[in-house]
Amino acid sequence: MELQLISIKFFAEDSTSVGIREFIPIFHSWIPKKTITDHLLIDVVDYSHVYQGPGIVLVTHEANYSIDPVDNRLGLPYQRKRPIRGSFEQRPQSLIRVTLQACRNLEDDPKLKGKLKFKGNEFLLISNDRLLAPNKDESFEAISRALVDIIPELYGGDKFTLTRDADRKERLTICVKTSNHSEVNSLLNAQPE
Amino acid sequence: MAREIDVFETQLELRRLDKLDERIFAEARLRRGVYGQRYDNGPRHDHTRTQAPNYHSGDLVKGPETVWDAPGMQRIKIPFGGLTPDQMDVLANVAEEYSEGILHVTTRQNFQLHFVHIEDTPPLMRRLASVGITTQEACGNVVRNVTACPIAGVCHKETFDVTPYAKALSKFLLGHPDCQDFGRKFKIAFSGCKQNGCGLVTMHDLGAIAVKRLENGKEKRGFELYVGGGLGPVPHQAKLFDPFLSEEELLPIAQAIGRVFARLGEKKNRARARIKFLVARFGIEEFRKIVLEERKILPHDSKWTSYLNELPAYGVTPLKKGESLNDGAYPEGFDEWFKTNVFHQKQRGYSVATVALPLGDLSSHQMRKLAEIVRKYVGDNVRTTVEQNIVLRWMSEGGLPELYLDLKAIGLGDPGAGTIVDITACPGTDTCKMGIASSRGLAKVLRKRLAAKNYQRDEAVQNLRIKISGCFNSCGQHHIADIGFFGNSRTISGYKVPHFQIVLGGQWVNNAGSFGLAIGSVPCKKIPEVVDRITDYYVKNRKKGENFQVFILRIGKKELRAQIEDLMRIPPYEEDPSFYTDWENPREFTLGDLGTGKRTGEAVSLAQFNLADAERELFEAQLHLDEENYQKADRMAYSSMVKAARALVKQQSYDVPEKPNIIVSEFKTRFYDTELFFDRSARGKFGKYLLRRHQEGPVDSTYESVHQLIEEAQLFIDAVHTCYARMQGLEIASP
Repeated sequence: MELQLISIKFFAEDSTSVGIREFIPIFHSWIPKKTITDHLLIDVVDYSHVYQGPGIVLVTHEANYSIDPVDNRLGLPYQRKRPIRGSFEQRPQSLIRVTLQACRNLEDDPKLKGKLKFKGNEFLLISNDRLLAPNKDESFEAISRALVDIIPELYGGDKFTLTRDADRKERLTICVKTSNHSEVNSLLNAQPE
Repeated sequence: MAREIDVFETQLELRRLDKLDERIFAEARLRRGVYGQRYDNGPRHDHTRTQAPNYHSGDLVKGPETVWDAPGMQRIKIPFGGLTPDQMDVLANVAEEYSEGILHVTTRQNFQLHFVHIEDTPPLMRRLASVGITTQEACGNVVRNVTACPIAGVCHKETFDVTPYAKALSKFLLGHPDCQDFGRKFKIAFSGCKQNGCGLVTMHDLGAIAVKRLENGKEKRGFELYVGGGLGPVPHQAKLFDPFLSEEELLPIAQAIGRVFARLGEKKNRARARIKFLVARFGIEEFRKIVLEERKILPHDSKWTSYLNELPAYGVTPLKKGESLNDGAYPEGFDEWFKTNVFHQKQRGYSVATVALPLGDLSSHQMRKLAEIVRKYVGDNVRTTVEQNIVLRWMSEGGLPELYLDLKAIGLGDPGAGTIVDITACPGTDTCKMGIASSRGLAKVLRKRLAAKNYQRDEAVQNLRIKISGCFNSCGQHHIADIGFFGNSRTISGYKVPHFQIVLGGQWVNNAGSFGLAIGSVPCKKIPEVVDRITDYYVKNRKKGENFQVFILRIGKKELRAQIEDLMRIPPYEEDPSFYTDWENPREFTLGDLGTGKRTGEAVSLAQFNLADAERELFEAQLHLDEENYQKADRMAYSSMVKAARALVKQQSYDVPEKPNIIVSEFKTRFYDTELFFDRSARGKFGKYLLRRHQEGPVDSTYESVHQLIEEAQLFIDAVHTCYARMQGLEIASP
């Protein structure tokens, strides 16, 4: 499968820990500092006025990073916009890593004073390409096969589940949950470079 | 549509291979609604320095100075705002997959998606085409989206439903050979009645108001046709072309006007290329003659009238039976929402429900859910509006409480549509290259503040309209607002400070009946207080039943300015640095996104003083205009421009005397001919205002001519501010 436009989303442990607009100056500060490598950082957009919308978006050439309040859960989606290297099976792994790095950057940001922690044992993988990977069983199975290989590398021997919302109009969204609590740092350490 | 997209895709590929001239490609992509966006041609100030993003596409451009890889904007045409739920679903999907998941409704009933990569535009267009949506001619020097009242067909006051006419004209002119050689854009609007504001006919290049008359005992449909209106930096009211143009002549006359515009309109000087200048050049009588001559020689086209045969069958079959709203217990918040967001149609038992969108935005998810709601309650009867909302027509009143709950569940149940909290704002500095101050940032702040107090407000204030543009180009339609703002900038002690010019007393009703006038610039952080002061003053001092426009005219701008004069003062940076950032932006304010420079010392003070004096003189010109002292108003407006020019010339020739001939000559030599005065977007446009007035002498002693001169003088003075700042090399840096 040639699916390139994939999103990965991790969630905050406590959705009330940080107000969404606190991320505006943080994302702005990342641009001159080039905090995210391999990405051309362009601008920050505030959509906090849109109910359960994309929240605060850091626009880069390769992807959009956001902090959003969708479903009343504070989350960080990384939405890929341009092709990435590697086989289809490798892509989710690369993107999980990139997203975790952004999570860590936020956790470590001095402006947040340690208030923010991300849950490592749950994430979403979203196909942002309805033509190549619509929300159907076949797409779910194909992507699940790739995930099944990646997850043990990420989470060791923890049990995990893969579920999806079957609403055909929504994008294919696979929820990955593991049994044990995980921290962002330990997940990153478990990832190959 | 498919062929058009294929052609565009080929052009895109040729440009990528550098086999198609960049200017030609730029016009080609604009004609597909593929627009540029902020930062696509250069630097961004990131709070420490100004630097251009290092896009991977290198030197490859998608137009002059427009980097290939830089994000762009996709404009999507929605003729007369008419949508179907299937279209809404696809719009939701493309926003999610090609943009950042937000759809923005514009002040011309279009949608815009931002941060779209140029290479994604052909598949995006194909997805839209699959549901009958085109982006063709959404931008560029062509006929743009045809707008119409969102309540056409259901309005009590309309003469007849203009929808089929708007649809027919839109279809007829799309890609029409006679409309491909314009020097500038051409905007068309329809209105079902004269007195309301929904159609805004008189501010369009071509506007049609539905009228009827008796001919041989039979009722005949036609249009009061207007031509040559427009907003832009200097607004023009359209002129009456024909008090009764029969329905059969609507399309051929529009075509004839297009041919005349293409043949005789200005092509080289972009600043004077709108049809309003052509109409002004000839005068409406001569212009009409030319058009009618053109009409006579048009080859016959059956499309002119073939759509009229379908009119008898035209109509709406409502999805549900019309039922009254039952008395009873309504959900919490329903009463408030009902009061402002529901309009009873002329058809008994039905209403129009307005979905108020904050800043015209909704998410893909909301759009998808709204499509479900639309299918459930009203079928195909959905329109976008020029106030950046969406309306559901033919809503059975009995179902309103349930509709309200469904909308509320997806965050679209906000009350306040059409009230003071329902603020119109252009994209501004969020995404527009021309934006000077943050129109959306200000709108967000005002919206929140006004919503908190709205229902405590006097009813006369509740229904005032606020409109905000990020710059002088009036995409936010500030000229026709009760309280309008457009962004500009002032320099204070070496720092740039975002301001908004206040424009009061514009008239939304009577199809954009008249334009407001500027009363002064206030720092952006003080604008909320300006709104409070002006509205409180209105409530305390108006006569019984006096509307806002009449009040403004009666009180006069001098007194109004006196109410807010103290708000124009700016504390030093050290005392309150918040004045030196724009709303919703942590970066210190700069025009570095539009230009670059370095900060120097205190030598600005004399020039600032002189510029303030120029502004004072211009304000006095406005007062004379109000008092119908046209000659004096003209003299003072001219004098204000000369004063501002002198402030600039003194930077290079300190001893320049106070003689207008010498000042203007020096200005022309030192600043205009050298292009030192030119900026990226307006180039020398505003400089010409001074040169023209100096050369041609006093304008006609009419309200309209002097009003225009005053508008031009304000723009010139603003441009002097900008040029001066650029000369001083101002760059924001912490002390």
